[in-house]
Amino acid sequence: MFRDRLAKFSQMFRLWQWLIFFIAALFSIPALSVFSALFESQNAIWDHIKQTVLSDYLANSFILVVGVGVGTLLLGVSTAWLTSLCRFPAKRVFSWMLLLPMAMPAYVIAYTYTGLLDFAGPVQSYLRAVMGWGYGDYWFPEVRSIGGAITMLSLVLYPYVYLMARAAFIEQSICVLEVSRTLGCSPWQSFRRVAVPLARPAIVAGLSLVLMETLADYGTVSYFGISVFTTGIFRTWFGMGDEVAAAKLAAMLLTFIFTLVVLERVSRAKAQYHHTSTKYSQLPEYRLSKGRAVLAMLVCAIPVVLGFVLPATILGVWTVETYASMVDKHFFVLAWNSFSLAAIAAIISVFVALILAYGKRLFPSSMIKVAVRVSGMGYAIPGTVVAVGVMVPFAWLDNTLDSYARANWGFSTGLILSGTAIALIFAYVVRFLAVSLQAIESGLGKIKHSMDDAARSLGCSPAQSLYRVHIPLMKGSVLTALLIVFVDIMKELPATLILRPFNFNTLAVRAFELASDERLADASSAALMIVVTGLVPVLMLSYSITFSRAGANS
Amino acid sequence: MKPLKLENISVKFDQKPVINDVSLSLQSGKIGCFLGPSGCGKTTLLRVVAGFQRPDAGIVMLGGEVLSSSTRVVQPEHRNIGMVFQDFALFPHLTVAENIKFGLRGWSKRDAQRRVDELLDLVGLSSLARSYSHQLSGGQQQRIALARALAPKPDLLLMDEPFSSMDTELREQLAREVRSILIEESMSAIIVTHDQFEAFAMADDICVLHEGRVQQQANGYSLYHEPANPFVANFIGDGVILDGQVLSHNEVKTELGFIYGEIAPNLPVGCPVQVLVRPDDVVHDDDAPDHALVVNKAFRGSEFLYTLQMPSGVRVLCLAPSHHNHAVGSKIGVRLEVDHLVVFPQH
Amino acid sequence: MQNKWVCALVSAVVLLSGSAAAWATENEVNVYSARKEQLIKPLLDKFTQQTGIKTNLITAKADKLLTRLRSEGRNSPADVFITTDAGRLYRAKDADLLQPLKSDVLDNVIPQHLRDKDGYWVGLSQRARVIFYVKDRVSPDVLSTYEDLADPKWSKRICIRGSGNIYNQSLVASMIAEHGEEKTLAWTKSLVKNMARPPQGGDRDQIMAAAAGQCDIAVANTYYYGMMLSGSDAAQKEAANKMGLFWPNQEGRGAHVNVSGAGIAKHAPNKDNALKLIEFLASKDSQSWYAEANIEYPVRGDAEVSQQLKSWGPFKADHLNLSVLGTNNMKAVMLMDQAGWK
Repeated sequence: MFRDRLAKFSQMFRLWQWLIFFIAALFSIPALSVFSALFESQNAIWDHIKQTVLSDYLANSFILVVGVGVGTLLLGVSTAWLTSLCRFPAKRVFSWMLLLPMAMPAYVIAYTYTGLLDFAGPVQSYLRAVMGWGYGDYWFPEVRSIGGAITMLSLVLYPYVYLMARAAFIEQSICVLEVSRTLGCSPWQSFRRVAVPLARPAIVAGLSLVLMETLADYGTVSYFGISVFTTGIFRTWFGMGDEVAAAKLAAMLLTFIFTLVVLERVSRAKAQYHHTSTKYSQLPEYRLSKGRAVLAMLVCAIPVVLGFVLPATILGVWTVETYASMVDKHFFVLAWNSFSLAAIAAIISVFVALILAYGKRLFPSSMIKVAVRVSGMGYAIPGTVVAVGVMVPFAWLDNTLDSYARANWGFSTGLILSGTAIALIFAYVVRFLAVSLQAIESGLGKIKHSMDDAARSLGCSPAQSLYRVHIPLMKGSVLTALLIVFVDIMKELPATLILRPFNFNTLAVRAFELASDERLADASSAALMIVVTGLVPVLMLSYSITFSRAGANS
Repeated sequence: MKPLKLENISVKFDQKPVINDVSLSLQSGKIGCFLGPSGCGKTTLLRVVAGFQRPDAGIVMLGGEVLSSSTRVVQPEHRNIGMVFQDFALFPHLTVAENIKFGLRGWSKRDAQRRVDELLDLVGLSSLARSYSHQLSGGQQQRIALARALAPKPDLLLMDEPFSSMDTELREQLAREVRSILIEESMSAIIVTHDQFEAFAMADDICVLHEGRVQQQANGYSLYHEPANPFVANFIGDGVILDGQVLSHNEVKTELGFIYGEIAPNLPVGCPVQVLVRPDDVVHDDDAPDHALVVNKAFRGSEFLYTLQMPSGVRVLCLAPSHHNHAVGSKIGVRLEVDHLVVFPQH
Repeated sequence: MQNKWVCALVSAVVLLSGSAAAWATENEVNVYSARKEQLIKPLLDKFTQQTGIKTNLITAKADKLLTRLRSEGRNSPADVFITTDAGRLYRAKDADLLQPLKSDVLDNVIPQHLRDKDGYWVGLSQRARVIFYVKDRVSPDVLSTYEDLADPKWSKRICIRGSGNIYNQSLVASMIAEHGEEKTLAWTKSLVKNMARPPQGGDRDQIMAAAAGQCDIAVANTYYYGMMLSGSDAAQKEAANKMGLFWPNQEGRGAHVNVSGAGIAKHAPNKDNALKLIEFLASKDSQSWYAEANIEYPVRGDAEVSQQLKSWGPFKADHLNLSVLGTNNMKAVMLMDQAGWK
């Protein structure tokens, strides 16, 4: 009897490890099917790219990444610090409103600002009419520029940094901050020398999501006509029909991201960033003087207004203008499609992330760590590349099965997975797993290992203790993961376009089709609906982070 | 209750041995203790027993069943061994009662509730059933952690530095309480500690560990009075070790004079040895012929602990009733009165 | 609790996948369309009404539909492949994804230069790429040909969108067909020098920018101009009103035209219905709808066109066989890269 028990358990352990390797293998198929092209021989198009446009792609991608990195850090960390540790009027309101831009897809904000600030847009036209200027008489920032793209992306992506940094600030043990004060640091110095360095892993986690999102962005950069890696990949692949050269570009893009991650790891070296104490008390709040309070409000208001209020208002105005012709019963079908797809994929993504992150906790071997990293790689790959990487192997599988069936059983199985929502959901999960993984891993990291041991010694298997102890303990992180992935999928475009089944539309597809047909006003109702649907989880998220804090009563 | 047996256990971390060929056993119904300075491997050994750590060699047996060997490990959740953690590890999302009930899966609702009530009663915290762990004091958390570990009626209870986060007074009180609770539940237990007084207060059987090896397994009295080697002699209680020479089968010569007592037969006459002198072996006596210089003194309420320097320069400790108050720098008379002669061969 | 979740997930996935499983059994036709839903769905609905044949639609960029078609292979559900340019139809034929259309109806109504020479696809609407000028600042007399856009007199005066756009690629491809690569490269380089700003935005944006004074002439497709004039956006209407339409190369080969067109997928499960649909799209009524709804030029001369199209007058179109746009496309892209056309 004892032998049976033993066999069963080592089996289960092995099963879990194999599951992780299986997921890693499955999730790397899209990337691999694209990168397999790399091993094909050199070609003329690659030489052509190297000679003509590659330096542009490199330079622009680099500027974009650095710019968005700096922009999101400035916006995200400063607002996180202000709303977590300072006291000024309307602080509570700001603390959740600062998340709103998350619901705004980057391509939508790009459309609205272009409509507003373009040379032919209302602002410049008004200036010209009032001042009597003509073209060339005055300087006005060009929206469709790399600076514009940096601004747009920073405005919608900073909430990732804000979210993580704020959570880290709030969880910092008060002792550390007080110690720094007794050692003679001013509040500003203790921010700079203690709080930020302590929050660094969280800030970097947020930042790495931002940078991956930036490098994978296609909608904004292509609309602004900026040549970066993603636009280059599209142009080479689809414009020149050359998969090999496109794969080379995509591989360079991944190397770029990989380098960033390694650089951060190296610079962090062996410094420890664990919470230094388990004692928490109500955080101290720096009471700001009147002038400073106004400044703080301004700092918090700028990203909210520019990243959400203004573009949402413009969308609202356009929607009112075009409402009658654009919103009908089909419109609500679109909204339902978007919502249900995003919900299902978000749940699956969190489920997979739990298996991986908890597995990594159970078996912290380097093989497992690598496998988990690989599984989350899809986030750095542009959506279209993931989509094609899903489509091709799925179709191959279907066709192979079909050939076998025809040869051996005399009938055709047709396409079983291709062109179904399963392929689409798989692509979403591949694409956004990194996001849920990030949230779940940071949630798990905060649970002391003695909790695992305690549960085990009380008769729970690892899976049972995940369900009975870990998930309840980190329900905030699980919720965060669910919500962020949900919002991301609501906004997702390229994979949806290419993989969806017949007669299946989503809000993002509708908005994009109209906008790319240069019908911005007509696109606004769908875009606004994305924003509104995305708003619900964002508000839930802000509620949950405001009211979940270590040491606070549950 | 089942007896515990460890045979030739070894554990390595990164090729470095942490536990080195440890064998020991604990009778059922007894309270055992792993005692040693930090880094001696006592917590690792406890985790081997609990099943969290797989031994690189050796066997763990409980009641004749092999729990761990180098090739197979019964998972912790199937050992029926309870554990109280150093940080208590109470589940913060559950109430006190829910924490205690956690391990009672498979029990009927009524039985489980009865067991929870019984344990709350046992640890005297019935009124806190609905509280959450962060609302409890350290001592209360400790008792709940104990109740939770006891609830499923384990075959063995492990406690890892259970009182390390308490202040001294609470520590002693809790140690007594816990011991009586364990005895009431007739529970076999092992506690891990670096504090010998805690070990003396709790354990029937103490296993002193150093550098991954068992130095001695015995009860508190024997450890103090019959230490097996100089490490145990130094680690348990105060005292100094003096050089000496065997004069006969029951006589040793030291700088402080001749000491009488039984000497192991493997130490022949004339052999240079080390002799343990406890503070209570050195008696302050104004009439004694030998005098020593007071180098340091520590007030301990009813007693002073003097550090004395003998004319030869050797220092010893001396316990004296606190009405014998002598200034540092003065000379006082001392003589030896050794009840238990402890002699180790010189290396 | 856990099990309930798993059950819900599994059943949801099964439901979602089931919806796509049953094709080729009903009386239906499956369409892969690069024309956007808004610009094809109404016609499909009308087709269903008339024939009772159900239509299923996916829309996406032509290249991605091509990739999908190719990877699905012989099991692809696609019957009809619709694109908005000839280059992609050529590419589909080249990749062996289409089959010949055998239809006397189509042969009769669609002019030969708007059909594939081997009968693999037909054009269904024409889209002309022309020059627009600011009426206040430019006299149409100084405009002449596409070749003339390279003239130094247009230095910093031209608005045109990026080189990633297929219409620009096709325009350059037609230049290569006419003049060869070397001369076209020189032309492209000069054109880039003449641009008033780095290429950005879409065709409407070029017209808007010119009207607002950023440049003097803009290159765009005619239907964008038409939509601006007839659309609901007041600012766009005002801008378009400031602009004049100029048909280039009327003395020579004619204005550059591309087509939106369709072919039948090689492994079409509903081949007959597919042919019926394409014939329907080429019918007189449908052709008028194209002209009405999207202000494109019909491919058949007898279709009724809107007042607006009539007002732009008749023009001479380049009769270059459109397959050439496909063969020259890659050369065009590389050449634009070399010339620094962003």
